[in-house]
Amino acid sequence: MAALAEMLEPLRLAMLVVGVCAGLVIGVIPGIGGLFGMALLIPLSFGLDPYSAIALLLGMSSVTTTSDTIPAVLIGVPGTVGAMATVVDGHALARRNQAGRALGAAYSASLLGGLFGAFILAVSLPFLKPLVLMLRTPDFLAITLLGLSLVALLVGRDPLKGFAAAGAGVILSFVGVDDQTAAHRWTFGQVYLWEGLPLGALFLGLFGIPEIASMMSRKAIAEPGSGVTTGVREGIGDTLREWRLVLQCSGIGALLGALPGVGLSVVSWIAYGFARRRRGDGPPFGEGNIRGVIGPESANNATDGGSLIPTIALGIPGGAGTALLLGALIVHGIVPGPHMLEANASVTVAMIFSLAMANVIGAGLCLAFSGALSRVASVGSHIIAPIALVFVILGAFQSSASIHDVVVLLCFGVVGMLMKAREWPRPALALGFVLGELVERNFFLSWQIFGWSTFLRPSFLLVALLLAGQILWHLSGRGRRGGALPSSPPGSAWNAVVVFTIAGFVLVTARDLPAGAALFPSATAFFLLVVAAAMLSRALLAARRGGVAGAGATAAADPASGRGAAAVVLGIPVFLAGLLIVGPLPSSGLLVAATMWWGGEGRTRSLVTGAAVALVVHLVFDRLISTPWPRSLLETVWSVLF
Amino acid sequence: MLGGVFRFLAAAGLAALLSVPSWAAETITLKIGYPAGGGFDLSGRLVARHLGKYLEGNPSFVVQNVPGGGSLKLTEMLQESEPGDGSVIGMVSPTMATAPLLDPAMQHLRPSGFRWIGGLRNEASVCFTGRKSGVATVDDFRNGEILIGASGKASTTYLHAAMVKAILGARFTIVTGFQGINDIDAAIERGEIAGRCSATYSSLRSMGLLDSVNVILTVVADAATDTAKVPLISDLAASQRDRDAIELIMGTLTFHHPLLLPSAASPEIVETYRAAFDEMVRDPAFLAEAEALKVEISATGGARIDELVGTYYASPPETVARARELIQ
Repeated sequence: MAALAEMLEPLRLAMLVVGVCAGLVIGVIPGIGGLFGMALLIPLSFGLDPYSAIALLLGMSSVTTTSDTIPAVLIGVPGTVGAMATVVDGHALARRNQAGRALGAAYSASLLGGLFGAFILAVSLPFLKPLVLMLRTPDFLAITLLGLSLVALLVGRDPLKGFAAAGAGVILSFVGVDDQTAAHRWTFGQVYLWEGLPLGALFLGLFGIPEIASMMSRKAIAEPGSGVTTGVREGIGDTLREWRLVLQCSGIGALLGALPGVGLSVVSWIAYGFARRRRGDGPPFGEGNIRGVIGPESANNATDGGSLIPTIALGIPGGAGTALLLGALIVHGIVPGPHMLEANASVTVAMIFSLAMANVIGAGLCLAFSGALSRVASVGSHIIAPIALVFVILGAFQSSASIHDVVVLLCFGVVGMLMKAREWPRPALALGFVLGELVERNFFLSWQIFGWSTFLRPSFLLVALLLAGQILWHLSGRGRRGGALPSSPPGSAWNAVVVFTIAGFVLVTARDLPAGAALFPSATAFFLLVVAAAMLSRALLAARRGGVAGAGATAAADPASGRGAAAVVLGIPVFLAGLLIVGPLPSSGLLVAATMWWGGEGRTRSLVTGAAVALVVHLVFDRLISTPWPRSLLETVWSVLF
Repeated sequence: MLGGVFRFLAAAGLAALLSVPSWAAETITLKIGYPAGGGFDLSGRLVARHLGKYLEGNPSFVVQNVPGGGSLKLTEMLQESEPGDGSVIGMVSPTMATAPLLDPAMQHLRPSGFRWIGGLRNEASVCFTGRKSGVATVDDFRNGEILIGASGKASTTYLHAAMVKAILGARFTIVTGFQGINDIDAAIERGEIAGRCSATYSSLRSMGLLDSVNVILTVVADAATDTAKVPLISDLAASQRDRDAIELIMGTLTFHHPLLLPSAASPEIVETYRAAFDEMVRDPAFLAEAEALKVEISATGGARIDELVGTYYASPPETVARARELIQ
């Protein structure tokens, strides 16, 4: 085919590789998402011919979900939202010194998932148009509700905590100016909060800070005495053995990716839930079961292919990234849409080819580096932790380029550490945050368009059935396993108090809001009240039975972990002060150098590493992405003097 | 070996650090009040690639996205904290010019604090419906009990629809809450809603969509809509007061995608930039790239913007009151 021949030309392949490399870098650094990459590369693509432009742009966007696994596994911070589910078992594997295995499995799963997604795209394109057009807004509502309910059940042993965390996340998502009524919900007079809490800073705080803190209290990422280092090859072998899971999860990813509004976060969790159905030979999920890595990774790479389906078939973007791609294609004179397949079949072929090749090259590059990367798990934490902290803070700063981002990071870092210590599932809160606003938006749209008949649609009945099924399965499963596994700890009454307080605060402050703006927050708060009541009664029953009231099974506070946590929490304002006084580059360098030296490294090595970190920060955050740094004191003095 | 790598990196690092004051005068920052990838961003980055040629020393431009509050955050920054030495310019929504007049919540913006350099575009903005909706004429639009889609209440999709509804006395319902124009269009395609407003005629044309939609009316006219005989909302207004109010609301669209300097900038710097802008929009190379990007340039100079805005602020109170009513 002529299109394939075009794509194999050296220039095109070179553009593909450039795109892939850019995508890998963007995926690896938490806080920078695929959108940024698109916005950067799109102008570069204008000078190119359409095929090269496609190679460049698709090359970039297809692989961000490949490299995002690296920080997810190594530090426990997802590089993009799609790696959130991978963190759970992936990081656990790294702690057992099996990072190589986790990475190997993840990349091969990503590769196979991506290829399968491209395949599904190619095959289903002609059939999908009528299908996609059949879906209506209430159906999207049903899907997002399902996604929300799934996560609360999936993570953690205590579903009540899961529901409470998800509810809290949902309420957090309502902060900002409401689209419906233009009412200000909990913005406290800050323009910064008008668009809501920033996703990037929140995620990095919730997941990144606690992991770095816990790293500080260990000698390295891998825990001491964790056994033989297993390698990348074993990981690949795992994926090949679990080929059925790979195909199933890629299928899920590709098909769900085709639905607008579903998004990577929901897809990766659904895949995780699916993988959890069978334990296989490994340890329990959450402690390093390789299926918990393979499932989400195959799904999130397949989603890229899936999200191109509505873009190509209908000219309607499947998400923000594909919207940018659409704009770029139009500039090149290619108008995606119903005519695309007939008029521009060659372009469609080129896109599918780019998608497939990018996945191959991306996974290949990552695999090549996996060996070296897995050794990072044994590097001393006094080196890794400050470097990770610098990138987490700078990544959070990308959210809205404001000091407030770092404040949000700090606050949610503390919240994250508390949740981790008290065994509240953080992914439930994160997903509640992502989906809460989406559910509200879809609900109001459905309501305005369909009214009551929203709930009579088949999709709703299906979701209700699935939900009931999930709950029953969960309950009966617990009954059956009741003897073998310890049932979830009853928890102290304090948990209930916390939830009551949150719900109470919301209900009281929501009274001043117009009805439309208050509906969902109040409904969620009522739900939280129910959960809190259930928690309280459970705690009281346990107390009566066990005679030890409020014996919340908190682990004894480890002095080392307390110190590590304090160090990290203090590190953030220190870095912020440095940012404002001397600017980002010296601050990054000095923070790393100082921590290394304090941890026992020689002076030269510390300074050199500090300089290297400053260089990388400059290359990424000044050259690649021009970050609007606040004007530092040093800068002001400099400009006055010179 | 690792030690050698470290040493090399260190040397390179020091070299880079020493040679890089990111505040060097040869680099000017263009701050865009919207996220990457949208229409403002596209125009802004186009300007960034060309404007330096017409300034002394041929400085290079660096683009930063500073989104927030529909460019309100950047507008406030330009009024309060950005330096006036010419090292920073901004691009915000043109509606900020009349925001203090029309919106009670925007009184903190100083009308005299805007240092306009120039506006890039002046485009017809239309209301359209999908082919499947069965709504093809202004009368259908006025009388039909249909659904029109909009995103947030502060967005132009809502403002234009609300204004049109009030002027026509129409019966359609505005459905708010869509996440963006793409979502609204998807819903139109699915038949869930009938149409929307705030669509640029030129992009409908360049995307080849004119055959698949019904363009009902335009709120701002240009040569293309005149040729296609698209009804103009002003012509459908019942009174002169309504027409004046429409002009007050829509007038700022004549200098769409505008550039401006911080309030602290001196008149000399403003003049320098205005001159550069005027030269840039006449340059064939600039216009050619704009055309390739499907960005239609129809520029308005900074002085002219000041004049226009002056007339708006001089409007009689009844007009202002009617305008505020119309966009409720």
